[in-house]
Amino acid sequence: MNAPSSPATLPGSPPFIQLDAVTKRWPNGSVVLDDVDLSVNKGDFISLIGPSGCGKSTLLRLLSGLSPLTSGTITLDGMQPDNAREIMSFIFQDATLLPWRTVLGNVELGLELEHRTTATQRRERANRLIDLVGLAPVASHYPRQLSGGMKMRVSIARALAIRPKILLMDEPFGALDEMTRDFLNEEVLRLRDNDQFTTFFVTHSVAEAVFLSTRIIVLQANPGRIVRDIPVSFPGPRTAALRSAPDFLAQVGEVSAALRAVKTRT
Amino acid sequence: MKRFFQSIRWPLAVFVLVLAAWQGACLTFKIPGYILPAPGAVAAAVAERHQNLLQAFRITAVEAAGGFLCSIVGGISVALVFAQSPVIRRSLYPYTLVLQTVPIVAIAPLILMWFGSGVRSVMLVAFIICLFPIIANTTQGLVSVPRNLMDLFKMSNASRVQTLLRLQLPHAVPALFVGLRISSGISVIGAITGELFASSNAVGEGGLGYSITYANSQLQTDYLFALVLTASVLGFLFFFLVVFFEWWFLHHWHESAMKADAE
Repeated sequence: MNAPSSPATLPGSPPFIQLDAVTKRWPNGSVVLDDVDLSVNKGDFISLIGPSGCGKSTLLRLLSGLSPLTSGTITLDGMQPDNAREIMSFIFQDATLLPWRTVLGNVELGLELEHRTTATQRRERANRLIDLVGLAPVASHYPRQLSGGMKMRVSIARALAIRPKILLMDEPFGALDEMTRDFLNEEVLRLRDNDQFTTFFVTHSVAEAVFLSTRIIVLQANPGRIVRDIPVSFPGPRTAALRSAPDFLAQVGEVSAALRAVKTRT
Repeated sequence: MKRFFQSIRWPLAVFVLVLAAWQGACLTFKIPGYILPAPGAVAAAVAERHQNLLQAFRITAVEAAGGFLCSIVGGISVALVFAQSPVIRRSLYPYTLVLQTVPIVAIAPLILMWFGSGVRSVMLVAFIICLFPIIANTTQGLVSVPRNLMDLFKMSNASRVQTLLRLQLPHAVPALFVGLRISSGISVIGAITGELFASSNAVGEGGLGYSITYANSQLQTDYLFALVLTASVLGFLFFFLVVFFEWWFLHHWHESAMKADAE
């Protein structure tokens, strides 16, 4: 229950993802992220949690290369963020589906833009992922015909279709009701068993973070800094039943306390 | 069918009432036909001269449609250029605004003088008047793609052309149709305006605009009304054609089409 799982890293080899002295300043001079260092092992599920304005979403945008660093370096599997897009998928807060495409068409989008697969391969892989997220019956529907939870599942299927090594999720379930959110949390764990991607997950929900993560990074605001790095592990498998286990509740308590300490400090 | 009649019964009632009042007023006040013909007289003119009307309708329809179709091609092309960079947009947009602000009646005679008094010149007038709404709306649609969608394409290393064809262009289709709706109606106005000046060159062959000037000069006011009626039928026809295509393209996915479905 102490060190985060690290079987994928051999001693001496560089970590899978490495952030060194990462700083981000807005043009008006305000510091969003200040001198952030972080090493992440392959297969880790990292939740970023903290008060609003702590730069957790900004950190995802820096990792994805959508936003440039002010100073410092980020290395993802040996690459700069700009060159690592092929191994990354971004899941946004809203599902960001193309309304003129069907579910199938949306899931195929990433593969289509990459040009590395034939149309048949694309269709096959998209259909497999649609199956995996349980949307096969609505594969030919348009987004406007889907519920919020279903749209998010399409978004997840689209992100996973390109077989990313790194998955960046920016509060993907924030707008959903609690039941749908719990259900999708379990689904994410199931998908992770299939495909060992490394995940950065921004959330406001402590319970969600504890349920999903191998590590929880607590950030403070003004300027954004890492204040706590809490490893999370449970002896048994993570299933819906875990949510009422004493272990789980204790972890939630610990993270909540850490978060409260941050909020009162700033 | 029953629902259709239910939806039009109120506008229909207004129509009948207005016609009745109009007919009544003409009879009661003995208004001379050359000032205000009664609806009956207009109907008689339509029946009597339907061949002339049809001929004029056909000529003006071709001119307006020609100008409209060219403006669709031209307007979309200009919008695609405008969408490439804010600098291009800022430098050229004010000049397209001229298309909208210069009164078409002022430049129509110039165009006919420069390019001759033929069908092509009339099309050009319709083209000019139709262009701006299409450019403005399509450009707006192309550049107003939500940031997250642009980021999604960026994350997939999408090329500029891919982003344009698979994201910006489909996203702009609803806005394009807003422009087309506006332009469809005014294309007829453009064609008729063009014809008004074409006729003064003594060549203008029989379109609605030409016939309107002719009927006016001959004090054939009942025929004039019949022509005006025909012109607005033409405008409506264009408009509903656009609405049909809009439904055809968008009803699968677009929110506005969904609302129409629900009604």
